[in-house]
Amino acid sequence: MKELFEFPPTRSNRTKWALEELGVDYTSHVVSLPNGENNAANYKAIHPLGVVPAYRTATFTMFESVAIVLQLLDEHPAAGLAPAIGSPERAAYYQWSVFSCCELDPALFDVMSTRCICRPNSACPRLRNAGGTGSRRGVRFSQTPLKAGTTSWARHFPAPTLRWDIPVTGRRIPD
Amino acid sequence: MTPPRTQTTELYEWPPTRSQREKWALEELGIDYSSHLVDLQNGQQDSGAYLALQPLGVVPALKTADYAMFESVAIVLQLIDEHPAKNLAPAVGSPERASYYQWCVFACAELDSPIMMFFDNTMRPLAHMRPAGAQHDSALAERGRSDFAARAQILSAVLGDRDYLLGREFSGADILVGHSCFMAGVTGLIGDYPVLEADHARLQQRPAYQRAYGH
Repeated sequence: MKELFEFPPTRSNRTKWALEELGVDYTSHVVSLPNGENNAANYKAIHPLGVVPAYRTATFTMFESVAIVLQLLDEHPAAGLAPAIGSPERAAYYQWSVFSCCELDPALFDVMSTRCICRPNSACPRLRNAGGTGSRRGVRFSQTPLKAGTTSWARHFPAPTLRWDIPVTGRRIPD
Repeated sequence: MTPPRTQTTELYEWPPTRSQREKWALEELGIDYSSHLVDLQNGQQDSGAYLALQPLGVVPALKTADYAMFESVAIVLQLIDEHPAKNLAPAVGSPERASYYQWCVFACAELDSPIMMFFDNTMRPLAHMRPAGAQHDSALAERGRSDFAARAQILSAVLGDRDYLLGREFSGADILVGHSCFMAGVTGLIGDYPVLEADHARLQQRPAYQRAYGH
């Protein structure tokens, strides 16, 4: 039995996508973040930080979205989704896998937390700091204020805290 | 006649930043390497030559005869895979490997950010703040401390009843998380977590650690 603890469309989607690519038979448990299910004791026993994703099998339980994907791909070598251990291609594979969680995610979350929780105006020191960090981390984004916009994500959060477009990808999820 | 040995592993580093992870791993693995200091104080990381190697202009980067790469955690994963006889990583596909990946990623995805947020807003010289003119922000420093606390408690629970993150055997995960604990020591954040302090003191006894950190 493989169990995925997720809350779409957060980082748990990385794990779900990998499971689907690999054709793994798994059970999904939706951990409602707006309802605080992530902070329940039974979930914290699985993931002590109370975030998604977590992944459980008969032999192990683990967390960290990038780590879970690395492990899943190793378990299914026939799928050919990871280069051979020790090859130069594996170096690039590790690099970009780690880049996603250690460079891109923090920059994107800087943008989310400052633009969605702080008011997006130039007087906000968090926004200024985030701009420095974000651009340093390789993500470029406009300093122009966000247009008011709601996404499907907003349904999961109190209305005032999340009214936004997605500036980095430019893709707007329909309401 | 044997041709002279060519040194093909090159480390681009600036101690004691995260490039220490690579240096420590190289020392543990007994790899012959040459070190290039990238002087962050003098802006060498923003030179065209270095940006060609590491486009974000940070350390570390690693170059071999076959590839160049960056991201401290990724480099350690790769180096250890290339030297299976050193037994610094569990077998691929094993449940232990799941734990290994988890703690390796935990180092950069969970630990580094709060420690650096605390450092940047308490100890970083104002002349080195980015963007120029930014000031220390006590609210962000407190957030760094608090986020680190949640993670340090998790590590303390794991390390409370075992020698290393994976149990009885030292692994690359101890190198990666170990450097985060070094940074937590520099900032003073580790002081509230005696289990982590004791664990780090034990890691400091390793000859490879001492060669890497210059003790």
